[in-house]
Amino acid sequence: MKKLMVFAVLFLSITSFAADADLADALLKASDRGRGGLEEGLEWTANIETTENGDTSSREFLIKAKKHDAFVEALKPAKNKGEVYLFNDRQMWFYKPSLKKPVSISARQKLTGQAANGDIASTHYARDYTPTLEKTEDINGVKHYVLFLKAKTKNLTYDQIRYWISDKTKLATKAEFLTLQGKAFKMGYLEYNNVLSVGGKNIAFVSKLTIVDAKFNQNKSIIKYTKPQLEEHPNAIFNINNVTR
Amino acid sequence: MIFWVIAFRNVKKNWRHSLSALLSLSASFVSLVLFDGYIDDLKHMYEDSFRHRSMLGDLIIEKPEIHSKLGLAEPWKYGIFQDEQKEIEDFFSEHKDFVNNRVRFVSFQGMVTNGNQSAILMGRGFDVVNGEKVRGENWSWNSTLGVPLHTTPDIEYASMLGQGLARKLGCTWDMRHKIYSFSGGYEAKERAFECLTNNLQVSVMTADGQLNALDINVVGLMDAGYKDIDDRYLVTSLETAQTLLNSKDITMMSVELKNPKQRDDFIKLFNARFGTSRPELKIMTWIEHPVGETYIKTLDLMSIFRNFVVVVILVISTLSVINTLIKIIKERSREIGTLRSIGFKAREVVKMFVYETFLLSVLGTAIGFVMSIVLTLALNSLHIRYKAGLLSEPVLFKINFTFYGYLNAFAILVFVSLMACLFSTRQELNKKIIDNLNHV
Repeated sequence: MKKLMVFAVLFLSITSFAADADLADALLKASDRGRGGLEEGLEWTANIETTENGDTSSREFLIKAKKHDAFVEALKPAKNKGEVYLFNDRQMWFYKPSLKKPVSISARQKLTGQAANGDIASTHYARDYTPTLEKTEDINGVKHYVLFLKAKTKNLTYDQIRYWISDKTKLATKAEFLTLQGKAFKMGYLEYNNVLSVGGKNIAFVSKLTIVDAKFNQNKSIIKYTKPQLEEHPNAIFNINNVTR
Repeated sequence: MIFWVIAFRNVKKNWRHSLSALLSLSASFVSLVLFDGYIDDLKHMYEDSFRHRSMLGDLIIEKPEIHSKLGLAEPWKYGIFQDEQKEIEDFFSEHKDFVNNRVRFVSFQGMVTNGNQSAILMGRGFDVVNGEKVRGENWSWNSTLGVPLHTTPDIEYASMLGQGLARKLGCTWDMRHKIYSFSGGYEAKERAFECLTNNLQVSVMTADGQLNALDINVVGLMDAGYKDIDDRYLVTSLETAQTLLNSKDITMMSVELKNPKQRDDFIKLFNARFGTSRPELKIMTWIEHPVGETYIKTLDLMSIFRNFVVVVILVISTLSVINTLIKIIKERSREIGTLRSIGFKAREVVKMFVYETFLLSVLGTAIGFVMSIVLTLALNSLHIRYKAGLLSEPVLFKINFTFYGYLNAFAILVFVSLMACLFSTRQELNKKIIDNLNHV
């Protein structure tokens, strides 16, 4: 009888663990859709207001994305018009009209500025991370699942992320980007006031992402997403060899 | 003996001429030895800076590829890995009679911020305890402000900033601090500095391309030597740097030998052990290492400058000594004529003047020696500082006592005087006795 009890407890633990893992996976996939993780091509405009070291600057970009690639073109201010950031999966490139060829964005350049923002905004969590359901938490009366995401490969900028997904909308509302020691480095806050029509169904799409330095919270970037729409993009625009003068 | 007596008598008798020759000789001696002493001090300053202050010891072990284009792009591929480090440590244990100490270094780059200001950093982690031993007595206290890392073992992630970087991050301090000790190095005393916050955030990309950050505690400021480096320099313990980089690899290792003269023997032993099994690992002196390039270039420049100045001093002093001696001997043409007329042979006249000149040159250099010592002590006691090119901090003006410098100056001046004496005496002896006697 005792053995049977132990077996039952073990069986229940294993099945509950497997169920948690499935739930975490499903939540992560669902939440990615609201941030552009779709099979279809997408296009939107992003306005980024950055406050760093007491200085505030504003930039506007047109973003064309398809699966794991993105073509980001600067629109404003006028002096930056024509600059292009190209995301080929995890590889990031930068090009401006005064350059003959695009330059690869180094790891160090991802530490600050637009490259760091792009790095965070473009992350595909379901593809890149293994989620574990840590706990549930109430935020403003809404139940949230708190997932701990661990990088599947070592070449991802953030090794660990803590991710809050609303039970109601299945969308992420908060993210904590952690250092290798598990300390918060940056915080991300997401809002979804855009609507995107996918296959005849309206889905919520991110409208605002606020990225804040965990230690120095006066340093932040606010990314506002506008005019999101489905758009078929030719693969050629994501080819680095085509981004030249 | 009689010639020495005559020489001494003549020096006394022709005291005006003698004084002029003595002044000329002593001034030349002083210029030569003081300049040589200054250059010698600069050379020692650089050597001390690399060997002790920068903890490079006698030899450096690393993979030279790390300085190539590929190495600069992907430095972590050319680090000394853990298994290699173990083999090197085993080798050191087998040769305890050679190795006095070793310091492991790891370099990193990233960003540092205090929340209000951010800056690019060039960081270095090293063995704090061993590093302090290699720095030796003079540079054990290596912080210009605050305290050195080895005094703060209990502070988590303790770090020091280059003064240039500290300024960028809003740190301030009283510039009137007296920090230098006379023997070289800094006075071992905590000097106050203020920053907006001493708790800074350092972020780096690890070898795997992951972002990592640590909150470091600034315990002191230091002078990184060159201004360009000082504006970005951050040093911390090896453990902190390895935590940041999430790796146990190191960039290089420096070795301090018990007897630096055994350097070549140790290199042979190292190459015999690793030459085939680990050919990518190289051992070299810091002069052969890229860090020594600055030293070699500086020394080359200094030696050109030194040779030029020495040639100028020599030309001036030679002309002055020759001119004085020729004048002295010419003015004593009648004396030469008298000596010859009473039966002195030419070689005896030459001998008399050579003895006299030798006496004058020894006296002149002796006076110059005393003057040089007095001037060296006086100038050194003034603690004069001056800005030197690319160096971030003013350098102490110091003149060294160099035995060989003094010996060289003595030999050169005695030689020049004797040559001048021989030349002018010969000229006078070539005249007829009557012409000598009729000299006005």
